Amino acid sequence: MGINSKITKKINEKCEKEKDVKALIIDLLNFENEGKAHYKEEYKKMITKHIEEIKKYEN
Amino acid sequence: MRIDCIKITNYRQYKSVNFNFSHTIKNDLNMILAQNGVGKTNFLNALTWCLYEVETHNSEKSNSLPLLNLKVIEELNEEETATVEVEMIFNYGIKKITVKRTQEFIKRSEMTSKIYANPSHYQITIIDEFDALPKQLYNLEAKNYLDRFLPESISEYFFFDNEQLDSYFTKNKSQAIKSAIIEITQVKLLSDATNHLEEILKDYRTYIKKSTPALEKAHDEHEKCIKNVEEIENCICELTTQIDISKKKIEENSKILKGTPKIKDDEIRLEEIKKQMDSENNNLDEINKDLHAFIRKYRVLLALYPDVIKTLDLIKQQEEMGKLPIDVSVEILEKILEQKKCIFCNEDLSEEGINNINRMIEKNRYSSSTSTLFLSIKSELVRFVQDSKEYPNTKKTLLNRKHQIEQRISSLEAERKAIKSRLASRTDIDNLKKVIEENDMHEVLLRENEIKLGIKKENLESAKNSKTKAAEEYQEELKKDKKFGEMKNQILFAEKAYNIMKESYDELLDEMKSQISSKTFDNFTNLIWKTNTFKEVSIDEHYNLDIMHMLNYSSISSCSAAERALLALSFTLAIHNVSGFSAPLVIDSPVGRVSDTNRKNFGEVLVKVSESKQIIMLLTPSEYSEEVKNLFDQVNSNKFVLKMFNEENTYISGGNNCD
Repeated sequence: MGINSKITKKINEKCEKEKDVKALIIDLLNFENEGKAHYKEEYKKMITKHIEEIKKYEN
Repeated sequence: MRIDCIKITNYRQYKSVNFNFSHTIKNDLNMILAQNGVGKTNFLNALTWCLYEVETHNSEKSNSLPLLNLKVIEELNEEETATVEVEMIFNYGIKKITVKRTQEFIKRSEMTSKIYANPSHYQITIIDEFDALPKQLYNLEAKNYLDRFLPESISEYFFFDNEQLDSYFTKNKSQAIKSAIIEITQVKLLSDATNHLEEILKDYRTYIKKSTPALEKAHDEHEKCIKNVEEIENCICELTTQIDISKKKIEENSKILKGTPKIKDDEIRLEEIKKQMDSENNNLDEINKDLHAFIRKYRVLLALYPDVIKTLDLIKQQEEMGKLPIDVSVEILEKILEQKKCIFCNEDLSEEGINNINRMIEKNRYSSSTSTLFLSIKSELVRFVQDSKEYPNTKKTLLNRKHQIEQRISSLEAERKAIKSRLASRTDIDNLKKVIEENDMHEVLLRENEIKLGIKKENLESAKNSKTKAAEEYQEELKKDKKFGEMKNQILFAEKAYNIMKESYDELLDEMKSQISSKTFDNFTNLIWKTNTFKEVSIDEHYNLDIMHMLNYSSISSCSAAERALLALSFTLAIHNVSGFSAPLVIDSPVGRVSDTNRKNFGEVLVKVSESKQIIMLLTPSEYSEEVKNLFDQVNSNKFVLKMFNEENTYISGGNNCD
């Protein structure tokens, strides 16, 4: 089951001025929805990945 | 998501049945008709056993019967095995998900028909249109997968029976309602993500905290504030649970104690009566003593009264004839004569005065002993007569006092007997006393916990403010820091995500709660015939659901069983609708408590809901009344009639087999 559209709509609203963080939040929520294990490793990877993407975009 | 097929083999009275829920028309409304005792509730139990290995709708009788079909047990030889199997096939968009639970039983003894069960085996098979191979999941992994779309914690909101509907809104259900809203609306994903992110942030912060003293101090302060907020939130949760437990106990106990006498009050009153009676009995003893003394005194007085009167009359006569000596002291007279002056008025005595005094002295000196005696006893006799005259009043006073005391004693005795009789009529008095004690304890606990909860909530506000301030100060220190540049960025980035998710969680929960209560009310007004009685449905901050009367009174406790059942259904439909939750609804005896007009309303609502959601209803023929039949027969996708063979095996009298 995908993420409830009400949640994604709320995140979009909140990330209106913080677009860089929106992608991370969506990834985190998808991770939780898939019920995977070992969140610490995956979370750190996702955070690092998104920071790198922002840096690339800024460069 | 919908159920395509259910196969039940050897489960209780179901030896082998297949339900194929085909869906070709607009409405996805499916009916299973069966008389009582044929297996409607065990159909529900089969589903929950398959999914969660629990039979949530069991009666006591079912608990004592083995899971394996009795006919199958009978036919087994010693050491032979048979398997119970329930399989459900779900259609979920591009996925076909098969959930199967099997359990093997072995017959140890032919004589006693005793069977032993091996642990059950649980398997989920997922066939995705875009995947070449099916995916197999087993046991715990399968359970975790299932929990994502049919969580066990909220199974009563998609598999339920009418018997449980009216207990949905007891006070202790508030946590269950909150959990249901959080799970079904998926808001739980936000809280899970936030919690996990918080752990990551903790790790990052701990790693870099020793970079500078100022950063370390800010970090420690921030951690302290986070921990403080967590502790207060946990405490609030615990207090809310305790409050719910106390309310539930008080409600249960009030039902037991309703109409019974207040035993504790009666016992206290008995003690008081005993003390009062002891006191009054002492008073009675005193008054009796007074009466005896009175009788003794007046026995003498009254016996002597006639003679006393005669003697007094004689004394009066003597006095009138001047035969009694003057009632004055001779010494005083002699002193006056000596001073030739009255010692009372200090006037000089005249010649006549001196002569009178001499005559008085002469008279007293020469009077008889009898006359003297008369004079000396006169005052006593007068007092004697006065006392005797007091006899009627004194007697009346004493007797009145005694009478009043006796009346009070009699009244206390009557009250004592009445209380004892009342207490004696209750044979379960010991049990009642325990219930009262437990109730009193929970009343006290409830008051104390509500006060504590109020304090904790205020503390939470203040703790959150401190945490925000500490977080800001920590961020300031972090920005100033020269080392750990990379990790610093990760912390700042993750904190942004954390704050947004936390705010979103709080806001979404409030919005969902508000939408659900509004939708519940809409559904409810469509289901019942009363149009001008109720004003709104409310869900308070503790997730207690209530329905408000037009005049703003809370009405949930005064709703009829049917109204509560309809309210529970309205709530469930609202949750599904607001959350977009796509699970099917399986309802046992949906119109059992609902009459006539309400049945028609009920039917119309379900027909509407079935346009976007699969509904499977289990009905008795009596529930399948004319108005229901007319409505459902036009739109139902599938109708199965269950019958029983030899009171042992349930089979489908009409319906399709699964592929």
